[in-house]
Amino acid sequence: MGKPTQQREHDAEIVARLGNFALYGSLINWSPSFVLPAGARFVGPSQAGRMASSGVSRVQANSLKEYKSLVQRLSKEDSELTLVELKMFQTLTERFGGKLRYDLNPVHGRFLKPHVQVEGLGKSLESRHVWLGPGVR
Amino acid sequence: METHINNFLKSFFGIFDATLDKCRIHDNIVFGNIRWNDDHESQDFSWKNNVEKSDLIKSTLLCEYLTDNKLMHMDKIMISKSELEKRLVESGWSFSDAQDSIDDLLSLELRMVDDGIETDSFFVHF
Repeated sequence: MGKPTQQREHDAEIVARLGNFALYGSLINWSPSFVLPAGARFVGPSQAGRMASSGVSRVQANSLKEYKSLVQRLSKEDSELTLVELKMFQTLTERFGGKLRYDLNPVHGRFLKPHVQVEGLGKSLESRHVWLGPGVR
Repeated sequence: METHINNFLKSFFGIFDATLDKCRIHDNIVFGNIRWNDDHESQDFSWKNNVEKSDLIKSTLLCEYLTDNKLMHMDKIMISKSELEKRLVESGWSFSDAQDSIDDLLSLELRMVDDGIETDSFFVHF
């Protein structure tokens, strides 16, 4: 049980370094080759390690349309964000004029798993739950 | 029963500021579509309905109560469970009805369907 967690943390660290680099690239209108092109297939957390080693972060969007698509993909139950991915997602959300509402300790409901929701970018996004990984509190 | 399901869905999606557009029921499974009130986007959903008619009516009333009294923020009920029970009782509900209806509503999960695949869910929580 310990080894996968260590691997996940290691992957997250790499994603953080390269992901922030990619985000920085997009801010200065430069697209590094490893940024996912529009419409690229979503890769879930089980593949995050392989993506990390190739320098690709799954938390990326270059337009509001891509951002909406990203939220839709991240709202799948197995798409648990790491802490680093959450920070990237927060930055990305603010870049598009939204903000995150954190629900780290939901009580009395069918789903008691920590999640965030996007505010300020329309009801269709507000209804989505972006689930957080076990280490994110 | 179909009317009660329709009424429930209208009030449930009212919580999310959405309007029921289409709905069909097959073997107790509800398939439908809602339109978001703030833009032209829509969302497909599915729901396996195991709720009795009388409970569905109470859930409908509870959703309307929550919306009318502005007690929801997105899918979160903004007061505690005990406070909600107290307010419902003050509004004429029996305590057991209030308790049961809250529990029923909290247990509901309507699945969002994107491109034919169930992804996220609509639900409410405290």
